[in-house]
Amino acid sequence: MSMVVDDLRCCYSRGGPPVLEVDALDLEPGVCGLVGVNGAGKSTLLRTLAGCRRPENGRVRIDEVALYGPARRTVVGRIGYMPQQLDLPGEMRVGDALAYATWVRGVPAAASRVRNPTLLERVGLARESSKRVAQLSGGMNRRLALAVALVTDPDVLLLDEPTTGLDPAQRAALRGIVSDLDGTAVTVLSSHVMEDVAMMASRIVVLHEGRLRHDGPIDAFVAERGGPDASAEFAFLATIAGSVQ
Amino acid sequence: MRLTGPSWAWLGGPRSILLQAVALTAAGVLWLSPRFSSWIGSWKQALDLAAGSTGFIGPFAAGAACLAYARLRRSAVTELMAQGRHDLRVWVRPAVAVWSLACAALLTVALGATTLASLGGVPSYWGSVWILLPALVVVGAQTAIGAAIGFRSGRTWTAPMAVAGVYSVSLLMSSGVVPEVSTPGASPAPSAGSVSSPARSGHRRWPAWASPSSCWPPLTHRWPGRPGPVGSSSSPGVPLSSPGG
Repeated sequence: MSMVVDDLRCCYSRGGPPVLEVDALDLEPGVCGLVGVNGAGKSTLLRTLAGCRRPENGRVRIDEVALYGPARRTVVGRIGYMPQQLDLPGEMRVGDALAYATWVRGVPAAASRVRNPTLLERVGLARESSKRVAQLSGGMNRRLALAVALVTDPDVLLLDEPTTGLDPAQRAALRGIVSDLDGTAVTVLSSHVMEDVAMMASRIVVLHEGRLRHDGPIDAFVAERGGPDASAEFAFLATIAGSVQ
Repeated sequence: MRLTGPSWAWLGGPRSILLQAVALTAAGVLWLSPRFSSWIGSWKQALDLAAGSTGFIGPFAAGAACLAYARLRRSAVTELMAQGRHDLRVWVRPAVAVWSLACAALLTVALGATTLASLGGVPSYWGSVWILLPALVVVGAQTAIGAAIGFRSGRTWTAPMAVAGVYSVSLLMSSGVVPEVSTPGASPAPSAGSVSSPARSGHRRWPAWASPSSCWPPLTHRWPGRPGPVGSSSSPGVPLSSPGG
């Protein structure tokens, strides 16, 4: 299982300057942290990898099948994507909202009836399944969004800033859920909270101004660039400042 | 009927959906009531004017569709839809749901009006019921316009504008300013099998769903051989049956 990106270029307007340029990126099973400041291109990259945004140039392949090619349908269902903000209808009950998301993703109803209660259990929302979505806290909403990302039992899981806006307890809970996920999936976790990435990921990709600045194991990244305190945050700042290449 | 399934996801909760159904029906009743004297004595005229209640039901349906699609656009569910495997069905479901509510309202109004006319002792002409079909198509088109406005803008406040816009376009069509495809007004009299106005035959270049005179309550027309004023039917064509049915 692998996801390969070649010569990717994304622009916001036709003929405009590229906001994202990735020459090559190989994603293997395991958790990869995608970090960068606001506007670095993280969400654009994740949306492109998720199959939601066709790139202006380049290819994304999953096990050699082009995501934006003629066989798209065979691979797009293998991707789970948790957007930065998922606003499911507030008046829906949590169980119904998950069933709706499952239907949107094209999962057969019979399969979702079996899987959905397990998914809610997995993200810790089983007791809230009859609550309305509008009644959920921020942390619960993010967990519901994670459950939505998992409805297809994906081989590629893309999480866009899953812990943003959560208090420390909720962040820890969500980190625990992500850490418990099956390690055979390619998981990309976008964040600008270095602490989260350092705790969950084994590999780190630094994106700055739409370009890759670093791609490698997180331990080496912190050891080499983290200064005397071996700080992940310091390593990140040093990388984007260009002081260490 | 479950009002929590995928079709109803963006129309609000069950209470809101019922409210919309009541509002659409009320719009149809509002359309018919000023013309009470013109249809109470004629089954065909009642059916004809009920079909013309698209004049009020359609703009309301456009507003509801606009609201639903604006909500959908603002949520990140469109990202999930872009990933889905049965694309078109997912996108059109909310519009189909609004349309079905509007159809139910139109049929309820038609049933109510013709039943009241029947209670007055006039004979029924069930063979003319087909004239409701083009009216349902018109409502579908008006709903689609509202949906497009809502999705394009992504703003819920455009819903009243969609209502006003669709109604205005219908008025413009009925007054001949723009080509007439759908107008607020009754279906052509010949379709209803009621009567035609020989004096106006052949004057219209575009298919007529209604006459301008049917847009406002003051009813001035007198059809040949009719005891009371009628205000809706004025299109060219050959009568399917004699007046007064």
